Order: sequence, then structure tokens, then C-alpha cells
Amino acid sequence: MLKISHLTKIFFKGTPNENVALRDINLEVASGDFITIIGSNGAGKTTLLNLISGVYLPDKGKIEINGKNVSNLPEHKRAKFIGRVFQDPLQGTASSLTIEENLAIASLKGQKKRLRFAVTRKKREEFKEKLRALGLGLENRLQERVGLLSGGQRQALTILMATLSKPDLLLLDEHTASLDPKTAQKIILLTEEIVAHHKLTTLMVTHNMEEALKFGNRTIMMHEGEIVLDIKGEERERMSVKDLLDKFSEVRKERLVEDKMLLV
Amino acid sequence: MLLSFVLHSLEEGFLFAILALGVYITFRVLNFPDLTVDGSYPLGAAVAAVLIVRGMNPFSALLFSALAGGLAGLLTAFLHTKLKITPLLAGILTMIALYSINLRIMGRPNISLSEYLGHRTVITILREVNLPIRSEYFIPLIFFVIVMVLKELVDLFLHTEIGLTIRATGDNEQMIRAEGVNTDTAKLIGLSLSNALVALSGGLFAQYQGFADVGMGIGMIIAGLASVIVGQSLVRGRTVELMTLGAIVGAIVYRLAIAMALKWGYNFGFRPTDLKLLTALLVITILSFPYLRAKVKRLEES
Repeated sequence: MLKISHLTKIFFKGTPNENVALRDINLEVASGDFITIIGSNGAGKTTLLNLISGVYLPDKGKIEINGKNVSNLPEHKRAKFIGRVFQDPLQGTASSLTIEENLAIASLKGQKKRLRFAVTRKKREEFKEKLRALGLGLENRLQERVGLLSGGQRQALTILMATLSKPDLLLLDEHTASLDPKTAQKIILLTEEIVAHHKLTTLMVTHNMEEALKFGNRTIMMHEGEIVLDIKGEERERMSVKDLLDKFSEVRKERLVEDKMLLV
Repeated sequence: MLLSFVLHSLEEGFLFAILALGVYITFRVLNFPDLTVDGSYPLGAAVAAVLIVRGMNPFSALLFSALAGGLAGLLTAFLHTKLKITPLLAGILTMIALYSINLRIMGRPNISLSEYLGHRTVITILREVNLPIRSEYFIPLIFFVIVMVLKELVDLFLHTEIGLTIRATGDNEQMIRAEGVNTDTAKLIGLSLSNALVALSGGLFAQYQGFADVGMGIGMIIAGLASVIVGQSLVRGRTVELMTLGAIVGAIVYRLAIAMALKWGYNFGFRPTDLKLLTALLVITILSFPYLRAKVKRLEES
């Protein structure tokens, strides 16, 4: 359903700061796959997601979603296939708009915006129901500004928004990294539930090795712009966090210096 | 005497409120510091004046004022979204271009709409209406109704699907693009709507004061901004309805303050030509007040 071939992205090309963020990446994602992506900082994980969603255009290579070449499609035109949740809870919602207004925008994804009221009574009922399922009590706060919500609540709302129109592809970029451990746990379980419920094809970047193995059906490891490990099925099931870390050291051929990578 | 002073200030305040609604849309909703205003305000005046002199109905002339303003806003938005010029510069470029365009439209720097020359404006038509109440009450009342209708329209618009995308564009561009909205389009719509309101205000004001002048736009963006900021401190609340109300209240209070300065200011050596200076000082005071207050507080505590 997602096919990436020979994808290359170079930042600051032709300057002393030239940085090859992605190097000839090939990746084929089957429909319903839930792939977790790990790798140290600067490995190209976020760049990969940004290229898929069209924030940047590639220097080389092709991205196909459901057989359609989207490589040069602008971000807002790809959005109807793609749901996204960012690391920063502030990024996925508009804080001066109310909860129902944010949801209304999400519900109109990929549709032509018209000159009619965005929040109708029918929609409000629908939003209420969806919010109730989150179990955060947000269904009673539809007309409150999103800026008043906590980070966890905003992130839960963003996940709901990203999946409201059942996208072909869900991209999660360390979406629990800036939350406290308890909230992060809640959000990751909520994510799993929603992904399973809609059978969404998902790519999830995470720094948490345990999470990377526990969730999803396939794990890829990136390093310096390349995919260095791609495991699924039995091989993945046998893999422990320690094995993964060993693999990781092997790839880097050096000791892990990064504290963040040791957080399990 | 005092009553007529208040009524006149109110009239001017209501006309300024239309401009303030426009400025609210760019500054507060779109988060776009749009300096086009200094050009689109006299543009509205120029278009209305020329059309009236040529014999057009003064109400229809206002429609063309608004249309011209909308086009000016589109130009600024085009410079910014398609040619990637920064918002401030895009606005200034349109503004400076409009100075020449306004002179072209008028053919000279100043057009009189005096009734002694036989020109009919919105004001002369309203004065002729036969009503049990006197025209000096009737005119501010009509202005008030016009402002409230426009406010209501802006409120309604900002709650439509298109309006929501404009608000979200000003709030979080990244998010709204991820939601599949073309932010360029949102800016084009927002800027043209804003400048249509500004030009409408200019067209009405020219008719109200009986002339259009190429220099009447100088500092209007600051006047509009002052109104929005003053209004925000008087009408607290973050909903669209309260913020548009704030812009209107702010415009009236601002206009009243200016009128008082003009009327009694000479006691303190103030001259009418000091008006823009006074406006600048007012805005500086309002903008710096929160920072200075916090600083004083810190000093007191230490």
C-alpha cells in the first residue's frame, strides 16, 4: 500500500553543511502493517515521515500510496490519505479553536470547504460519541478552547483527529515522547486500540525499544539515513530488547553513548 | 454642544470600527501583520469619490470600494504566498503601489464630495430621509446598524468551514496543512476580506467628511491596531464574537480619545497636526504596558 523506492533527501545540498538525511531508502509496507521505527537522533526517521507526508519533496526516488505516485504532490493534497501525530502536543491542534472546531476541521479532511457552518448539531453528536470513547471526559468540554487542555489530552485529541477520516496511512512521530510516563502509557494503549479498530496501516517512530517490539508487527531500525534492520514475524518475536540493543551497537560499531537509547 | 461632540465621535468611531474589523481579521485571526491598510483605506475613498462624482449612487459606489479593497488584499496575499515575500514587506509593497494607483484613480490628490458642488453622498441621502427622529441621531444610529450587521457577518463567516480554516491557518499552519488545507488559499481569502472591509470604511469616511484625499490612509493601520488592542483590554474573552465586539468598542474608545485630544488638547499645547504622534504614543504605551508593569513589579519585589 505504501511503496518507497530509492528515496534520497539531502539537506543544504552543495554547501559545507551538506547533510544526507536519507540514502536510497527502499521500503514496502503492506496494507494493515503496523511498523515501529527506531534509530538514534539524526538517523532520518522524522525526515522519512516528513517526506511521506510531503513536508519536503525528495531529491531522488519515488513514493507511492495505493499505487498512486505522490512524490511531487504538495502536503495538503496528500493529507487526505495520511493522518499524522507529532511529538509536540501543541503541533497537532489549533489552540485558539475549540475542541469541536478542531474536530470539525479533521472531519472535513480532503473535502472541499464550503460556506456553511462547520459544526452542525449532527456533527456535534458524532464528536461527543467519539470523545466519550477516549474516556477523558472531553465529551463535556466541546466548546472549550484546546489551549486549555493538558498535553496528554491534546495528544489524545490529535490521535482522534488524525484517524477521524480513516486515513490510508497513519504516521506517528514519537507522539508519546513529551508526555509523562503514565500519560504516555495511556496514549500508546489508546493508539493501539484505534489502530486495531480501524485496521490502519501505521508507521510509528519511537525511542522506546520495549515499545518498538511490543507494538506492531514489524520493526525497522535506521542509521545515518539507511534502513539497517527490518524484522518481522518469528524473528521479531524472538528478539528481546537486549538483542535489539546489541544489534544497534553492532551497527554503530561503537558503544552506545546516547542516554536516550538506553531508556527502556 | 457636548452631545453633538459625542454624537460626532460616535459616528467616526463606527466608521473606524469597520476598519478595525478588517484589521482584526489580519492581525488577530490570520496572525498576518498587514500594512496594505494604509493603501486600501484611501483606495476605498478614491473609488467611492470618483464614482460619486461621475454620478453613481453612493451606496453602489461603496460596493466598488469594497471590491477594490479586496483586490488590494489579494495582491498582498499573492506577493506573500506565491512570490514568498515576507508579510510585512508584501503589505508595504502593495501600500506604496496603491499610493500611485490612488492618484491615478482620482486624477489629482483630492476630490471634494461637497453637496454645494451637487454631489450626493450616503450622508446627504440619509439626511433627506423623512423620519420622526432628527438626522443627527438617525445617522449615528444607521452607522451603528451597519457596523453590527458587518460584525455579525464576520462572526458567521468565521464559523463556516472556510472561516475555520482561516482561523486555524493563523493559529497553527503546520497542523492545518496536515489536515489537508491549502494555507495559501486561506490567506488569500482572509486578506481580501480584511481589505474589503478597510476600503469600505475608507469609502464611507470619504463620504462622511465630504472629500477623498490621497494622504488619508497614513497611519490607518496603527489606528486600526490601536482599536483592536484597546478593545481587547476592554472586552476580555477569546471567542470570535467577543473579539469582534472588542474591535468595535476599541475603535469607538480610540476615536473618542482622539476627538477629546483635538477638542481640549490645545490647553496643553497640542495641535491637530500632532495627531499621528499622539496615536503612535498611544499604541507604544498600550503595547509596552504589560512588559513595563511586570518589570516594575520585579523591581519592587527585589
